[in-house]
Amino acid sequence: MVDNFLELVRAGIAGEAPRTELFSGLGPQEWRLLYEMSRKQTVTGICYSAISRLPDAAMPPIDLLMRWVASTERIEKASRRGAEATRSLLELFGERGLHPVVQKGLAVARFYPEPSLREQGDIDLWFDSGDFTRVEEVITALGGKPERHADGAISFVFNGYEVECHSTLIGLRTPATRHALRDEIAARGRHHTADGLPVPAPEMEMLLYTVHIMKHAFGVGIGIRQFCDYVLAARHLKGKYNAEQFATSLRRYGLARWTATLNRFATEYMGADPADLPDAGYLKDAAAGAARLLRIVEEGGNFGQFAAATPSGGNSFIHKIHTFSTFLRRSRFSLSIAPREAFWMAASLLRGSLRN
Amino acid sequence: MRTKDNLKLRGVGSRFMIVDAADDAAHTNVFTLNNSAAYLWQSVAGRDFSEEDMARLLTERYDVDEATAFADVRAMLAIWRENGLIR
Repeated sequence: MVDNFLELVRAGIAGEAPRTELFSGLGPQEWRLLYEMSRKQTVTGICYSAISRLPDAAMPPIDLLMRWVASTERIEKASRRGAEATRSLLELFGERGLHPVVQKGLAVARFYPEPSLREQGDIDLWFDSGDFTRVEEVITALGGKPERHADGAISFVFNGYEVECHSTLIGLRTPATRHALRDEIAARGRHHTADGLPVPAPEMEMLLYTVHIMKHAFGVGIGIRQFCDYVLAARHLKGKYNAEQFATSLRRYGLARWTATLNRFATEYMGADPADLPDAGYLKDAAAGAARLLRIVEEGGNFGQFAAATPSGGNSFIHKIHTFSTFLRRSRFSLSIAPREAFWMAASLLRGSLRN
Repeated sequence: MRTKDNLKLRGVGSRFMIVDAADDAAHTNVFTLNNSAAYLWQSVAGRDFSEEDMARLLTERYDVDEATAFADVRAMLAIWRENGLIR
């Protein structure tokens, strides 16, 4: 059923009808499985968008279709509320002299054919170093309770949303890379969308999605939604940044093989056009890595939440141990793909686990 | 009378559905509409309307006499009212 599911995702993000022959003969059990897969991967609305373009004879049974429609409606409502919360936050921070950039969330949703169908989790905001020193004070002034995290982020709850305030735009761990990246981010500045949303510069935004997937794929796991983000960002940002300079950056940051693996996944499983994707010049075959990524996606779903070993409950120490042990389990993969980053990620995880 | 705000008519294949979504699945209702009900909904959504407006829409679009149109409209509006789709 994985092929059927991936076809729904591919068609959903392309705004197209899926291939009918993959769905005409499906029975109720198989459709239920597809529905559960879409929920586990947090792409329920995207898959619905594809299904709604199928001929009647190829559609799910009516009871499941109604459930799917209902879920999609709730996703749309939640996305609209998330967008309002994000914009309110930007305004409130702005009134107090802070000007964060939106990471992922509303920023990446703009690339989707129907932005409100992209499920939103937390709100992530990046503050440059000058602004970040005042974040805690401003959160308190807004009536929030700031909470510091091991990675330096500060979070609080705003209008029912978990907001994470970051001092790092892109989560690379190698110290020399972090220094080089800081300079590059400062040089590239920030951009604004046509409707005034502050987003990273195009090459930084591409790097953000690339690294975000890698970080989680090496750790607790990642779902298909973030690959959708990557494919759509690449499609829409193509031509908006210097591809050669970006390729040089990817190589400098030790991400050439990772990018090739990610791209192979995107073309093999999501129908991405290779011409849209950033090319870091890695020439060896990345098929095995892409297949490994697919197993990671299938195993755990959205950020690995559905993996058998994922602990339930709020014990942060147990979660940290789980994160580190999952990272160890995937270390052969991560060390073969991006050894420098994998090493420093492990060091950072260990430090974080021991700290609290 | 008016249709309830924020209710969206969705075309799914040849079917039409309206979802009255709460934040949780237990309190979300999904209604399926036939073609003529969907046509009427689309025609009156977002504005004030009367039974007469709806009956006229039916007689203009379909081969149906006024008495039948009124009977159908009253039956349909009773269902919509019972399910909180109009106010």
